[in-house]
Amino acid sequence: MIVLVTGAYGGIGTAVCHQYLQQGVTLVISGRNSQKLNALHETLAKQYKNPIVSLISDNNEPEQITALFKDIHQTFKRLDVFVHCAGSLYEAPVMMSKYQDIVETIQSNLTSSILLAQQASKLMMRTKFGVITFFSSVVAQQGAQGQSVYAAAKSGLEGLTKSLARELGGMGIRVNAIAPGVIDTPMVAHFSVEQKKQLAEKTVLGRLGSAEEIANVACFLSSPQASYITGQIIAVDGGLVV
Amino acid sequence: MTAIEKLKSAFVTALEISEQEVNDSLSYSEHPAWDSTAHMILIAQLEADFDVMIDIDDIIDMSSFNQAKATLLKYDENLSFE
Repeated sequence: MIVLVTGAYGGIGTAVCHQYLQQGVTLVISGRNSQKLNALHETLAKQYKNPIVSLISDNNEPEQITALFKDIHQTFKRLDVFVHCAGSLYEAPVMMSKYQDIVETIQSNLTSSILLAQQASKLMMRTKFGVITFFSSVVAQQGAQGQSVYAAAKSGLEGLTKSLARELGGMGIRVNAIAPGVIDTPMVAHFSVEQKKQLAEKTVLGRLGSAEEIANVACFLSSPQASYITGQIIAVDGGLVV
Repeated sequence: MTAIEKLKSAFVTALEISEQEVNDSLSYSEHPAWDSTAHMILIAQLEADFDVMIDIDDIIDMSSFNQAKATLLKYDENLSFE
């Protein structure tokens, strides 16, 4: 099985890579920072014997997305699973958001997802099998002060997920999204202990989630056990949105 | 199998039509079997059979059997559909 993970060196991306490698897949890891990507590759290669391929790609550049899939096509001729972990959090009140920041947030969270899905599904159609998993956010459903632009992009991603599921289902391709809550990754490392405690108290389970708990769901969604699940937004948030 | 035979075969398989229907007048949306879903299946079939990756702009422009020949020649100049 050939699995592509974008944003592979992020907190959730790395956990997703480990989970898939434990299942014995051939893993393609991608990201725009070559140093971080190489460091991850080295770490994973020491731990697992599976084939791992690193492909540097900036998802904000359409031609780099095309090049990424040309490389996958040349090397493997197929793609079975695509997990799109790359994305960027943008926080600013809407009145303080510059046009360029708005465009970049939509580009990195939504436009890139559309372009990547175009290419991934094209490869998956050949075998009439594939699983695409996006990452949304709880803010797409409930909003968040200071995250209007980010929430708009993630809401768009949820519409993309449902529409793509309808478009591609007939060709054996399932499309879902995971909506993580507050996950204890480097993205929230700058939060104080008190801030983390306050966030944890908002969940039903009374704690932050771990990247591994998100990766478990990503792997489940591409497993045979999830073969009848498509077009769904799966909240993995400890009951933050109930 | 020649390139033209391979191309016709891809159309037959992807659009689920007879070989007699695959000719130079075959066009997207004009044949009931060649709708947007069949178009995606056709592209996947052509990419697999001719071992190419077709750009999105070319996928959109590929609106006839004739255009498919021209598109594939763009990716492999050694092909011949004579």
